[in-house]
Amino acid sequence: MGPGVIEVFLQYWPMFLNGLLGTLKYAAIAVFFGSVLGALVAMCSLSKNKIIRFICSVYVNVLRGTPLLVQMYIAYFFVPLAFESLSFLAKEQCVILSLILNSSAYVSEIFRSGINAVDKGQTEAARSLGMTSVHCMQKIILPQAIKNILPALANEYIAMIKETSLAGTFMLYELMYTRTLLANKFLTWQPLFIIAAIYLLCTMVLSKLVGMMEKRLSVSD
Amino acid sequence: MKKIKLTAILLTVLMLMLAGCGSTAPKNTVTSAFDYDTSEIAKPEIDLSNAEGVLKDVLDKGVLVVATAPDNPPYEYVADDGKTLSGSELFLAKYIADILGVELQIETMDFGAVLTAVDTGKADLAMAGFGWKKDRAENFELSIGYHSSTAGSSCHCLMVRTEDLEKYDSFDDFDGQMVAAQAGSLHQMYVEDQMPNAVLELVSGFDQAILNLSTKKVEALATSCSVARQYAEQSGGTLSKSPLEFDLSMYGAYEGTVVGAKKGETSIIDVMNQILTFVNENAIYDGMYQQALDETGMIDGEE
Repeated sequence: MGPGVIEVFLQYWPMFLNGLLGTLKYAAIAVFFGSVLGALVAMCSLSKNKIIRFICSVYVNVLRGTPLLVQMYIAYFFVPLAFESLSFLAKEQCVILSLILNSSAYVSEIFRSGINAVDKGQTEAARSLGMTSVHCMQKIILPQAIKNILPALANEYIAMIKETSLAGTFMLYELMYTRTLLANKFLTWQPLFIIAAIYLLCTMVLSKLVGMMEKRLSVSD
Repeated sequence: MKKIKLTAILLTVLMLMLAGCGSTAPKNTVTSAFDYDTSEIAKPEIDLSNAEGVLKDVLDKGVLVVATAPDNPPYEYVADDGKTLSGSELFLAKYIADILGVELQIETMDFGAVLTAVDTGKADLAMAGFGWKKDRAENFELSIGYHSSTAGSSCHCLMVRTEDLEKYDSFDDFDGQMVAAQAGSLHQMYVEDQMPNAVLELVSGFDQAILNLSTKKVEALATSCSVARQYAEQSGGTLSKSPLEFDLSMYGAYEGTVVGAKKGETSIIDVMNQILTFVNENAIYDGMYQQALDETGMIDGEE
């Protein structure tokens, strides 16, 4: 079966390190911009305007109801075709775009449920004291909602780390891409175990951190 | 009124962000110009005055975009750094670009996406070890085949587990058995044509075929002789190149690898055929194939 897993790792570890950095980078970009966009979508989906709410629900349903790989193919092949002005986007940017959009749909649901989880009585109390709805959102609802939102957002980042493996299909340099690189060196099975181990290590460490964060946030409860 | 204004602003910001995110992202890493000096190689005289369609666009823009799947050494592969592309088919692509007098740009993607890329206009040509196939020819314009005249390049065979080497003496022995080939590759065509009773197991990447064979999911896989020898060596004796080789004489002018373009783009394929005829007549691909073999350190020729 050729060289063992450990031999391969020792020989090619810089390749895996680069891949890991790529994975973390793509996941970070996706979740960061996805959060900004997702927050906007969440705000819109909480609005009183029916049309805006409808658009938001379509947006979220389409992005959550279709596989990310399909979205990547569409973003790569058809978005530049449909919007001439977006044809300057290179392959990497198209794939990142689809990661961001996909993430934003999940994040918007996290925000929405986080905000909805704050007791309605809080809003009623604030409004009856004469606060405007924006003021109430800023000073009363969001500070409480953030406690629900942050751990879920961190979990979204962990999920995104695994999702970015699909970017390897487009030959972007992330962890899964090292498989292609090493297959070119006729190493077929060893990279799979190394990649699995690295993913597992990453997600375990991050889950641990999220657990600690949750503990800190629950102090005030 | 105020609310509508707010919503409009929000939506505008949203659109701007969509456009903005793309441009703030780091520059593409893998799509790259490709460097291979063809000045020493003889080139045919090609009349480009009647260029139409994609070919005209290529000449106007001064860039030839070729889509490929860099997981097929020595034909096309990525070096260890994950960025540098190389391989004999990409050398040929550079040669073609130089004849046309344009820059070469290579778009890398999964094998299954390569033909989609020419269909959607992402790329002008597809070069990823494609063989001529009837259904492919119906949906795409395909050039004539090109191949190296050295033994290895025009040699395609089966690969089996070493323990089964004695078990299979002819293609007929595989009746009802599973045989793996990369979807859409030359080898899929060979298996379909020459092993009609075998059960074809299509895989999207070649490493999956090797895994299938090692884990006994298939009885054999079809590949080129040089790749088979390389994997046989890498496997430490568990896998072997089978002496069963495919008969390529039945494919005539379409023997070997073809270049693909979008259906209806006959102008660019005409030019490709002229170039490839010259390449085949003057054995130009031999040198490219040999250089790629040397770069990868792969084994070629007769055992």
